[in-house]
Amino acid sequence: MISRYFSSAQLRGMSRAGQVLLPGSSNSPAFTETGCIAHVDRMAQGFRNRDRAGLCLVFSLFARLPRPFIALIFWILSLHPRLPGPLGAGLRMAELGIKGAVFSPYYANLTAPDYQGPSVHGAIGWNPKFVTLPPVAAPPEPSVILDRPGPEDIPAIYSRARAVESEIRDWGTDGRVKFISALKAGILDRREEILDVVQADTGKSRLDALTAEIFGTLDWLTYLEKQAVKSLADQRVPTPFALMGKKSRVYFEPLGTVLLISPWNYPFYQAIVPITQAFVCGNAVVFKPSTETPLKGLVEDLLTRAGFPRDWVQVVYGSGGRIGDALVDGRPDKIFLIGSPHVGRHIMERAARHLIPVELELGGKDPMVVFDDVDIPRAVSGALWGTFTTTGQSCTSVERPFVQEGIYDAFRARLQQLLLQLPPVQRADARFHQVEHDVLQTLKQRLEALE
Amino acid sequence: MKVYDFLFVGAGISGPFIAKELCGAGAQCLMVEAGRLYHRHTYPRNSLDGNANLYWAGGMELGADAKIAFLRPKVVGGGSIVNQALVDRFDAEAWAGWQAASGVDWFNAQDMAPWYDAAESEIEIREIPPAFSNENARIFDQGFKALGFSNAPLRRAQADCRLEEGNCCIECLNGCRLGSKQSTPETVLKTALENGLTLVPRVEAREIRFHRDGRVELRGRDARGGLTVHWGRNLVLGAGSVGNSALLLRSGLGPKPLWKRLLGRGEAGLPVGRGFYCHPQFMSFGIYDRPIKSHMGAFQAFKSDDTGFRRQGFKLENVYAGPEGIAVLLPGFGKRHHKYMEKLDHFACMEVCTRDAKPGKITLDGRGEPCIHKPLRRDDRARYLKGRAIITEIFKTTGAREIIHGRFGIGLHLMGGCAMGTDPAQSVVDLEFRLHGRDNVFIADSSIFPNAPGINPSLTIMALSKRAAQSILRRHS
Repeated sequence: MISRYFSSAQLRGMSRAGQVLLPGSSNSPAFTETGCIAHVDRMAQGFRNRDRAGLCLVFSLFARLPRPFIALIFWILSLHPRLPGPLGAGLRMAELGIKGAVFSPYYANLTAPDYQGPSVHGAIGWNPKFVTLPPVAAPPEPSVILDRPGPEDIPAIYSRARAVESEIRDWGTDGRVKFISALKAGILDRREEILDVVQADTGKSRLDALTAEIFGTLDWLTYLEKQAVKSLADQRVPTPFALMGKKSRVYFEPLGTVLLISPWNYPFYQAIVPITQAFVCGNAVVFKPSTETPLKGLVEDLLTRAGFPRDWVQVVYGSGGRIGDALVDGRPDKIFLIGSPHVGRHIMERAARHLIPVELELGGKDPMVVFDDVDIPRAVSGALWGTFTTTGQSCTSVERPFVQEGIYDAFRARLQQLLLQLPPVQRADARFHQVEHDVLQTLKQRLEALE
Repeated sequence: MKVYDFLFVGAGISGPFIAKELCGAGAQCLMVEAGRLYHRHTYPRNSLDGNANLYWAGGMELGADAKIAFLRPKVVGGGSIVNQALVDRFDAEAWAGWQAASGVDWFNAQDMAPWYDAAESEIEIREIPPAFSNENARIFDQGFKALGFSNAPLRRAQADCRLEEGNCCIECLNGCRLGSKQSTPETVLKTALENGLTLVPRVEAREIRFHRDGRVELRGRDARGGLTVHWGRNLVLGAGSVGNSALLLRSGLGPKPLWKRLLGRGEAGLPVGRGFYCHPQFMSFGIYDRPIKSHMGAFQAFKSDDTGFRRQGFKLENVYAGPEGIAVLLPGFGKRHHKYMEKLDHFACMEVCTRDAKPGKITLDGRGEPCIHKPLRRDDRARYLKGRAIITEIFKTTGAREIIHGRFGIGLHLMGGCAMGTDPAQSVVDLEFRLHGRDNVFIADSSIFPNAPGINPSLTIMALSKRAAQSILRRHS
C-alpha cells in the first residue's frame, strides 16, 4: 500500500511493532493478519506534525530491528512510572504514541478489503447494538460515462477531476513519486501482457513495441523517480534591490486538470508518459486515447493496481469528432495533444476561445540530412530504421532524406538494395494496414474535395 | 470587507449559547471554528476516524510530562459532541471555592440559579432510570451500598436515547446519530444559524489584532494552510481553556516576559495560561468471572454523591470506554494483552475524577502551539489514590477476581487559563466577562473558571454564557 505519511520502510516498522504488540492468539487475529495498516493515513492525518515525525522515526528504527529487540524496547518503555522527569515523560510519550497508533486501526475493527478472518470485535466480545435508523437519502453521486460518452456527459467527468485536484496536490511531489514507482514495477511485471494488448490493437512487431513502448516508458518513469522532486522543488532566487530585505523564490504549482489526447502509433507510451508527466506535477488527468488503439482497460488496470485512487486519472473512450469539442469546452487547465496538424489546429483554435494553454506534438515531414563524410552503410541503416520503424508511423520518422551530391548514387544504391531485403508485412490482417487504409481513404476524400 | 458586530472564536458550548442571544437581537455575527461541521448521519462511524477528526492532535494531546492525555474536541459543537452530556449544577462548596479565589460576589448558588434555569430551558434533560442500569452500574451501586457511601443517578442532556429498544449509547462519544444528545448544533447553534449567524468551519484562529478605530482583526488559517482575515467590532472567545489561552498568548496579550517587566516597559500583561485545571480522571477495571458487558445500554448511570468524597477532593463514576482506549490503559503487550482484551465483556469499570488543587499552566512552544503543563503533585495524587482505594474496595466486595488500574490519566474538563476575577494582576476577565483593560473582548467558557470545582462544567458554562450574553446585550443595546 502507498501511504502519504509513511515510507514503505516505516510501514514495515509499524507492522513489526504490531506483530510484537498484537501477535494474535487462538481467538484474536494478529495485527498483520487483519491488514488494518491499510487505514493508517486516515489516522495519521489527525496527528500533529511533530508527533507524526516522531512515529516515522520510531518505525524507521523498528524496520531494522529483530522482534525480540522491539519487545525489549516496549518492556523498557513500560518502566516509565519509576523514572523521573523528562526521561519518564519521553518513555510515556513513546509508549502512548506507538500503542495508540497500533491499537487504533486494530480495535476500530478495520481490515484490508479482502480480509475474511475472525473480526477483532468478535474476539473481544465488543458488540454494542444500535437501533436501526431510517435510511438517509444521501445525494446520489452523478454517474460518469467514460466508455463512449456523448458530449453532454463530459462536464460530469471534469467535475470528478476537479473534486480530486486538492487531494492530488496535497500528496506533494515526493508522495506522488511513490505511485510512479508502483506503476513502474507493475509495468515491468506485466510487460508480456501489455505487449499482447498493444500488438492486438496496433499490429506492430513485438520488437518495435518492446523497444519503443515498454523500454521507453520504463526509462521515462525512472527519470521521474530520480528527477521529479528535484525539478519541482522551490528555487531560491535573488531579490531585486528595490525589495531588499525580502526573500524570493520560484515555486511550482499544479495547473489543475489536464486533458491529454493521444494518437494510435505508440498508444502505450503516449498514454503512460504524458499521464505520469501531468500527474507528478500534481494535476488530475482526463485522457482520451485514439479510437484506433484504445488498449481498452489496460491503462486503468495498471493505474489501479499501482494504487491510484479512482478519478485521479480518467480514461475516456470516444472519437475526437464526437467529443473533442466538448472535451475542450469542459475547460481543462491545459491541453496536450499528440496528433496530426489538422486536428492540432482545430483544438488550438477552440482552446483559444477559453484561453486554455495548449501544447501540441504534431506529425511532420521530417528531413534527414546526410553529408558526404558519413560511413555509408551505417547511414543507410539509420535512414531505413528511421523511416520504417513502426511502419513509419512516428512523429519524428524520416520522411525526406537529403543526401549530399558526392555520395548520392552510392547512398541510393545501398538503400535500394537493403529496402528490397526488408521482409514484407508480417500478418495479412495487420492493424496498421487497416489504419493506413483509413488514412489513405481520408486523404483521397480530401483530395477529391479539393478538385 | 464586512465588519461584523461580533466575531466568535470556537463553536463549542459557550459560543453558540451567546450567539443565539446576540443573533436573536439582530447582531451581525460570524463564528470561526477549527473543526469540521458534521450532520447526524455524517459523524464518523468508527473510533479511528472519530479520534482523527473530532479531536486536536488526533486525540493524542499530551501534557509536558505525558502523564495525562487531553481529549480536546475540535469540531462544530465542541465538547457537546464528544462529552457524556452530564449536567450538574455547582454545589455550595464549588461556589465558595470560586468566590474565595476570585472575589466575584455573584459566584453563589442563589445569584446563578436563574441562569441555570435559562440554560436548562434550552436543552432536554433526563435522568437515567435505574431499570436501564447495566451490570457495570449495578456493581457500582452494590459496592457503594455495601461500603456505606451515597450515590445518585446521573442527569444527562438527552432527548431520547431509545434505551428501551436496546440501544447502546456508547457510540455517542463520536457524535450522536439519533439526535438525542443535546449538542449545540441540535439546540442553540441551530437557532443562531436560523437567525443569521455565519459559521465558518475549518478555520483555526491564529492571532487577534486591535486597530485604533476600534476594529478587531481576526487572522486565521484555513484548511489549506492559507491566511483568512475577518473583521469585527467585538470578539467573543469560546475556544476553550487551551484554545483561548493559546490565541491570546500568540496575540501578545499574555504575561510580559521578565526583562520587559524589569524595564517597566508598556502595560502589565494578563496572567493568560495560568491557573489551568483539568479534573484528572483515572479509570480502573475489575475483572469478574461472570459476564458484565459494560458496553450495553446506558453506559454511565451513577455518580458518587458523598460529602466525604467531596471533602477529600474526588468523586467516582461508573464509566466505560471503547476498546482502543481500554487497550492503551492496560499493562503489558503481546499474548498477555490479548488475554485481557478477550475478557473484555467480563470487565467492570470505574473512574476517579479528582478535583485538582494545584494549577498547571499553558504556554506556547516555538511554533505557537499550546504546550500544557499539568504535573500531578503530591496532594492531587493523594486524592486520586484515596479514590482509587475505594474503587479497589468496591471491586473486591462485589467479587472481582482481578483489579487493574489504568496506566494513564485523562483530562476531559479543561478549565482555567483566562480566570475571572476582580484583580487584573490575578485574573484575565472581569465581572462583566470582558478582558481586563478592553471593552470589546468577551469570554464566558470554561477558561474563565478560577479553579477546579470538582463538578462537571458543562451546565455551568451554559449558565455563565447566558449571563454573559445578557451582559453584552445590556452594554450594546
